[in-house]
Amino acid sequence: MDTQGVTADPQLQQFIEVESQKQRFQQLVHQMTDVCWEKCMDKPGPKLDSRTETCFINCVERFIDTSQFILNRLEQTQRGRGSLSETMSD
Amino acid sequence: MDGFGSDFSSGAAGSGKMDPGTIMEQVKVQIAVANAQELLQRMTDKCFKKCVGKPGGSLDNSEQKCIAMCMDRYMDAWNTASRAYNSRLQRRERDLTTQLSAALPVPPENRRKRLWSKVYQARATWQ
Repeated sequence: MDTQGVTADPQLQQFIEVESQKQRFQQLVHQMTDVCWEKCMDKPGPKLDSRTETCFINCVERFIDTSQFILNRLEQTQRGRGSLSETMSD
Repeated sequence: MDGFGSDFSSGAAGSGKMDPGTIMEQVKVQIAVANAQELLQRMTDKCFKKCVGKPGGSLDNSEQKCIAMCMDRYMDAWNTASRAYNSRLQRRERDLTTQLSAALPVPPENRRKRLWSKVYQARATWQ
């Protein structure tokens, strides 16, 4: 297979980027559903009641907040180290 | 990815060349299959934990009913999480766009490009 030809194709390149992004989204949804199920779901009933649904929504938001918090704080600690953060910011 | 491998050979057999359109379609199918498998795997895990106590000689009626309800609730949960995450991404893109257009000191070229690529990436998730 002509790998040079495949990676040079801008249409395929774009496709790969878009699908990769979609896949990252899907993976996160799988993960958050899993984690939030443990936190929010008691006994599965005939429908998803509003309290459980709210818990799920809050859970997703707080999960993303946690991820963001960790990234920000990591960046802060690295910035405090001076020159190391300059070379790492790319 | 055995299925993917065999699809390749059967598709290329006649023409000797894979056109990008066919590749893209097959990749999409494989991705969809992988996602369905992931979903089922997690659903099975969760519903087994919730519904099956000490495992007996077979799944009794109450266990089966519980599993059926659990499946539906898991799908509801998945959809809720998907919508919530989507909204959050859209909000983040709005904020990023606001930041870019605000009267801030102009970032250097490479940082500006990275900010824009973040916007495009976020937008790509719900196209």
